[in-house]
Amino acid sequence: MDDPIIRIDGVQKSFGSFTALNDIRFDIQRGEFFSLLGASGCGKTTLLRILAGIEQPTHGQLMIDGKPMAGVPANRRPTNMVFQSYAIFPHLTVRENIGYGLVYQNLTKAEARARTDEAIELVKLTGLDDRSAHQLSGGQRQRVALARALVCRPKVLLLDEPLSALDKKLREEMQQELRSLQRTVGITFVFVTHDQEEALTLSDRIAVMSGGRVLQIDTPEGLYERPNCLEVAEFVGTMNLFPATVQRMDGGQVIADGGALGTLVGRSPDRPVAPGEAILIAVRPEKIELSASGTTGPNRVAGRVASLSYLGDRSHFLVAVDGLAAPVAVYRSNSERATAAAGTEVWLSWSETDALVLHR
Amino acid sequence: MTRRFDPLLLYAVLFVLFLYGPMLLMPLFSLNDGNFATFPLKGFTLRHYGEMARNTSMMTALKNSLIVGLGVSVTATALALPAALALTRYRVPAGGAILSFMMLPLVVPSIVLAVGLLIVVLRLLGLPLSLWTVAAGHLMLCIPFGMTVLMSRLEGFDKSLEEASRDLGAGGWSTFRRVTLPLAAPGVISSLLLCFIISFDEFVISFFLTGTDNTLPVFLFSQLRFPNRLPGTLALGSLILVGSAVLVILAEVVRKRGVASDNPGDI
Repeated sequence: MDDPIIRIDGVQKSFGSFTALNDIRFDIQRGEFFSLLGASGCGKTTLLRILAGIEQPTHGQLMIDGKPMAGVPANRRPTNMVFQSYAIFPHLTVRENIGYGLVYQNLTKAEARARTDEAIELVKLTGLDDRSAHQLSGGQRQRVALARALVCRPKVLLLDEPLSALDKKLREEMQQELRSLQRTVGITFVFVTHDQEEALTLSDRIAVMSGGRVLQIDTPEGLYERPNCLEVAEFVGTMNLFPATVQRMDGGQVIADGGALGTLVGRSPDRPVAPGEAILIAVRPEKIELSASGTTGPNRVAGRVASLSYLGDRSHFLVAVDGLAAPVAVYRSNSERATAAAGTEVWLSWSETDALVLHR
Repeated sequence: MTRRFDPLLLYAVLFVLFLYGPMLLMPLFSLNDGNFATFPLKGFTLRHYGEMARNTSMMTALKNSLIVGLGVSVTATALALPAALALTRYRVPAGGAILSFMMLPLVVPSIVLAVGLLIVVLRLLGLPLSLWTVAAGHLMLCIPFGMTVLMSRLEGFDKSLEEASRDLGAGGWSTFRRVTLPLAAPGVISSLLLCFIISFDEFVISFFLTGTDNTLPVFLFSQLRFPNRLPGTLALGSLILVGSAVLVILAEVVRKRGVASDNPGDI
């Protein structure tokens, strides 16, 4: 059954002559933890605000829970939002903040109180009912914002970089809590972030955005292992890039000439390539093997260790390779005990199944 | 060990004396048992306060000023609030030009404003001069002051608070009542007080636009010709001084409280 909770169909948004969003179309499934990932200014917050009804699209259709949202104001949508600034009402207490939206839900006083109690307990703010906003820590204010939105029982919860104002430790704690909270309540979460690690940790699926467009929508694993373009490959994780020219295709493989790097073999991309085309062979740092000696062959490159950083469980090597502007990053687990000192000559090698072919 | 003399302390004392000395002479002479405001002081009395209370034309002028001041402050604030909201919250076409235009009475000399208003009232509208025309003139002067106070207050708080209210189900009116107005309240109170003081104190426009009913400043000016009535004027002046001081302190307390509750603990 194709019954998405959100269907975005050709949404475009302009502010004057600036196009913030360009022909966005995708579905978000019921119960998903869906992230919009991108650098600041990519349009992710604008898209979230369009979902909330705070902004109206210039063109295009938006359906939430099967109903068209054109002309439906923010206060009549089955969505609630956690704002980046949290937007806690400073003149109200924690309890009044959380109960703010229940006034509009035709509940009896007892029902509203019970719902508020339940929400306070859900976000672990029990006992702080009568505090006002300026008496709360950053993490507590974030919980109030979360409870205030969840108490309205939205079909979709929209979160605008809710963790960006927290310090690293608290952010990691809240990530875990958010994820388990989403499983508990079973509501669709749409989560905006510029932090790729956060998106990978939390999401069922991620839409990577840039310049008002969606570049790729995939699972965290799909984005990392099979980025569909250079921009996604570079935005999500670290990627080594080897320029090459396509020689021929052989089954599921692309055989390319890397010039001084020798023959490079990679996995065929979804979009076909033609012989003679300039491509990039992309390999993740942890997929590259380091060895002191080696023979020539495809996907084997000689280099010299420029620097290494010891990170406890693993070591990061930067290997200078003739003919490449940027050094090649190599991550090796320290359980292998395969170290190479800075300055030593090494061979880099990788399997052709770990080498992606990207268009230049 | 001797304390060194600090020349800045002398400066501070002279500064305060210069600022408040003349004002403090007023209550001093109002309690002096004599008909002229001169030294040496003759003795303590409260009789000038009695004279003041019995001076019905002075009391009428005071009442007129209070009525005009209250009416003007409420009306000016009520008119300035929607304008300030529109200019701070929405993209108004030519908003900047509209704002500059509204602020004009602040920079136009009030004597020019007064003459202009007199011509408008008498020649163009053909209305008789009364407290209404005085109030209308004051309203014109007070709206830009109210706007300034309210706009700085409205710009001070996060727009996402109103968006959050809408998002949680509140309509436009409900958001105004439950979020915007409570948060703007310190600004509204400041605006009310400021407009009242401006109207109460205004002389030039009142002088031109007043009919048979005087406001207090105009009445006091007319009394300067009779030196023996001065002590009663001083008594009233002293009372107004105390009243204004209380109002200003009150306004400051309200403003401080407003500021405190808006900075939700910087983490």
